[in-house]
Amino acid sequence: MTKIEEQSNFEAGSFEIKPDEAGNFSYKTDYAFDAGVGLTEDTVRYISNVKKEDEWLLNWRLKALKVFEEKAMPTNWASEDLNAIDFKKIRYYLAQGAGTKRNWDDVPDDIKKTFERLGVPEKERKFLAGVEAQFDSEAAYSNMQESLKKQGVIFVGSNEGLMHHDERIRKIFREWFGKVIPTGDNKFSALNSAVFSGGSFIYVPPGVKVAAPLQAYFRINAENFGQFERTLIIADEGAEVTYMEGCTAPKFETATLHSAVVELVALKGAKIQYITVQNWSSNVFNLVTKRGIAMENAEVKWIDCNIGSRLTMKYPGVVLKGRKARGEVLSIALAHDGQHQDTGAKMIHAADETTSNIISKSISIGKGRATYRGIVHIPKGLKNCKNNTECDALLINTNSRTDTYPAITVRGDQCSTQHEASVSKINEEQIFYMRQRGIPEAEAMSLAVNGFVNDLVRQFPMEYSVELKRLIDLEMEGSVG
Amino acid sequence: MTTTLEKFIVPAKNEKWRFSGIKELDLSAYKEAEDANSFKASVGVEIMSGKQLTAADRAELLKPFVDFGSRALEHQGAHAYGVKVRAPQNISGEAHLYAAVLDSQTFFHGHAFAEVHPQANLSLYENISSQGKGNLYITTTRLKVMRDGVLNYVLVQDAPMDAKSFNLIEIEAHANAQVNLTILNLGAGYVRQEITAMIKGENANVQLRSLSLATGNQEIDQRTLQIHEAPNAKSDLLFKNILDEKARTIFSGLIRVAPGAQKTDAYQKNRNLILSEDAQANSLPGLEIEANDVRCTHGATSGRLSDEELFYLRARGVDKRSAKRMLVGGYAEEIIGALPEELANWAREKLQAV
Repeated sequence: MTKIEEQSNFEAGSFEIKPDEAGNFSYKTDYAFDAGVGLTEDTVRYISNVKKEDEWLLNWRLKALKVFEEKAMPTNWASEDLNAIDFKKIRYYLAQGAGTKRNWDDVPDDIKKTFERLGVPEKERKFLAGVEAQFDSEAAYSNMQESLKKQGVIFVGSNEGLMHHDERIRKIFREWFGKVIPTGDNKFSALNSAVFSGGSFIYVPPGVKVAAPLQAYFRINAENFGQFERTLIIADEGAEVTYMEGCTAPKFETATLHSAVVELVALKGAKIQYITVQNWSSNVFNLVTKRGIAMENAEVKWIDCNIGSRLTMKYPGVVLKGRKARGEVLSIALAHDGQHQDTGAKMIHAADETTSNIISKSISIGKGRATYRGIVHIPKGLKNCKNNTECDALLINTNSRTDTYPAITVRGDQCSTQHEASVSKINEEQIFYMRQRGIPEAEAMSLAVNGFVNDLVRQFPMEYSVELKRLIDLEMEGSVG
Repeated sequence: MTTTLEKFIVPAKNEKWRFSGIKELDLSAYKEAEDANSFKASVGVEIMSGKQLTAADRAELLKPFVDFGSRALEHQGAHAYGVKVRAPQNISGEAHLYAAVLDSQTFFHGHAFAEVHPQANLSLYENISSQGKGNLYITTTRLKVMRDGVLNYVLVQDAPMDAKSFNLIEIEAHANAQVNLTILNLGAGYVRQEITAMIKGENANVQLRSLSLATGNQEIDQRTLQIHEAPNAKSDLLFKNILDEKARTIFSGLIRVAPGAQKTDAYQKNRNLILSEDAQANSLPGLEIEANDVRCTHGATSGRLSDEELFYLRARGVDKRSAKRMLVGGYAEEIIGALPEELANWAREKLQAV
C-alpha cells in the first residue's frame, strides 16, 4: 500500500478526479456537422459524404448497415436490457469540423477545459508519446513526438488511415481493416462498421519498440449521441507498442450508446498491449468488440478495467494464429447499483504451442451485477496448447450479484486447460483488524477491495493504477452498511 | 396427460442446447416398449406402480421438471411406466428399479418418484440397460428427501451403443437431509442428462458424482443445476469424463444461490480426461450468485494422462497398455470407490474391458 501512496504523491494533481465533480459536468458544444437522429441509408451516406470517402468505403458501410438490420439482438444469451436501446433516438455522427490540431495551443479553450476536468493536463503531453484526444467523434488534438515520427510510427485517425494520400500507408491499413473482426461478427460490430468515425489507426514498423504508451482519451458530450470509434493497431515483425484508452463521460438524462471496434494485429514476434479504463456515466450502453490476432511468437495482451456504464458487454479476444503465440486478458470490473458489467475473454487457439491466460476479478456493490463470460477453444490436431483461466468475484452487499459463464472446448489429447472461479465476500477478520487500528469502516472496506485487485492493478502503468485506486475509493463511498 | 409428438426438434441458438450435436429426434420411428420395467425393495420400503398409484401419486409423477430444454419429451407416448418408492419414517432399506427393454426399436418412457421420510435411510438403484437394438429411453426421476432423511441414489446407464438415453433427475433436499447421487454412464450412443438439485432446507448436504466413459462416436451431454434456496446448506458436484476415439462430452453446470441463502457452501468441478486426438470435451461451468456471504467455487480441467505417471510405470516394467489402464482406473476410482463393493467391482471390470 505504501508504494502506491508514494506514487500518488509524486503524481499529485496530474490525474486528480475530484469526487464531488466526477461525472457531473458537461460543456455546451456547437457542432458543425450533425447527421441527425436515427439510422437509415441516408445517415450512412451523410457520414461517408462528410468524410469525402471513396465509393468502396461507402458501399462497405452500406453493406454493414444491412447486416446490422438483419441480425437479431443477442438476447438469447445476453441481458434483456439491450432492448432498452432505441436506435431511432440516437445520433450517429457529430463533428466540430475543426481540423486535427498539431499544437496544444491551437486546441479550442472549451475543449481544453473539459480535458482539464477529465484530468488530462497540458504538462502531461511531455511524457506521453502521443495524444489523440477524441472529442466526440473527431480527433480534436493530436500530437506525436518527433522521435516516433522518425522511427516511422504512423498514428492517424481512422478515416485518415484508410484514405491517406500516401498509397503505402493506405495499403498498410486497408490490408487489415475489418479482417480481425469481420462486419458480421455480431450486431454491434456491424453497427460500428456502418457508422464508424474517429478512433486511432497505428502502424509500428518492424523492430521498432515504442517506449512510452500511446494514449487516447474518449468522451461523449452530447445527449443521445453514440460514439462509434474504430481502432486498428498493427505491430510489424518484432515491434512493440502499448496503447492506453481511458474514457469518462458527463451525466445525461437519456441512455446513450457506445459501440467501438478495436482490431489488433501482432505480426511475427510483435507485442501489443492494449489498456482500457472505462468509466462511462451510468446511462451509457457500452457494447464493444475487441479482438487481436497474434502470429508466430507474437503476444497480445488486453488489460481491461470497467468501472462505469449502465451495461457493458465486452469480451476482448485473441486469435492465436502462429506457433508459440501468446494471448492474455487481465480484467477488473466494478458494478455498482444499476450497473451490469458483462465482461470476459475469448481465446481461440489456432496453432501449436500457443498459450493463453485469463484473469478476471469483479466486484459487485449494492445491487450491481458483474458477469464473466468466456470462450476458450482448442480445435483438433493442435499440440501443446495451454490455457489458464481464473475468475474471482467479490460481493460487497447482501443483494449484490455475480455470474460466471465460461465455455471451454478442447479437442485432442495434446492440450490442456484449467479453469477456476470463486465467489467470496470481504473478509471480516481483515476489516476487524483494520478497525482495531483506528481505520474507519469505509476506508477499511476500500483498502480490502484494493487489496483484492492489487495483483492485477500492479500490471497497469503507474498513472492508471493511481487513477484506478481513486476510482475504487470513489465507488466504495457509501456502500457500507 | 401424455401427448404424441412426431418429432422433437432441438431449438436452434438456444443456450440450453449449446454444443449439442443432436438436431432432432424422430419419435415416430419407435414403438412403445412392453413389459420393460421391474423393481424390488427390501422389507419396510414400499414400492407402488400401476393401479396401486393414487391420483395424487400420478400427479406427483407427472409434475413438470425444471425446464432444461427437454421438457417437451417428458410426456410423450400413450402411456408411461410409473413407480413410486417410499421409505417411511425411521426405516432404512434399499430399492432397485430396472428399465430393461428386450425388444428393438422401442421407446421406454418411465417416471419414478422416491420419497424419503424424516429419519429414513434409502439406497435407491436405477438401472437402464437393454437386450434389444436401437431403443430410446426417456426417464424422469424425482427424489424427495425430507427432514433428516438420507438418500443414496445410483443411476447405472449401461444401454447398448445404438441406444439413446434421456434422463431427467430432480432432487429436493429439506433440512438436514443428506443426498448422495452417483451416475455411471457406460453405454448409449447418445446420452442427455438434466440434473437439478434443489436445496430447500438448512444444513442439507447434497453430493453429486458422475463418471462417464465416452468412446466411439458417443455424445454424452450433461446439464446440472444446483439451486440453493435455504441458508447454511452444502452442495458438492464432481463430474468426470473419460473420452476416447471420436467421443464428445458436454458438461454444463450452474450453481444458483438465491438471495438470502447466506452461508451457502457450493462446489462444482468438471474434469475431462482425453485419450485420443479426435475426442472433444466441452465444459460450461457456471455460477449465478445473489447472496454475498457464501463460499462458491467451480473448476474445470481438460487434459491427457500425465506423461510423468506413465513414465514412472513404464520404468517399472509395466507395458504401455497396462500402464494406461491403471491410470484410467485410478482416475475413475474417485467416483467408483464410493459405491457398494459389488457394484464398484462390476464397474471396474467394465472399464478394464475398454
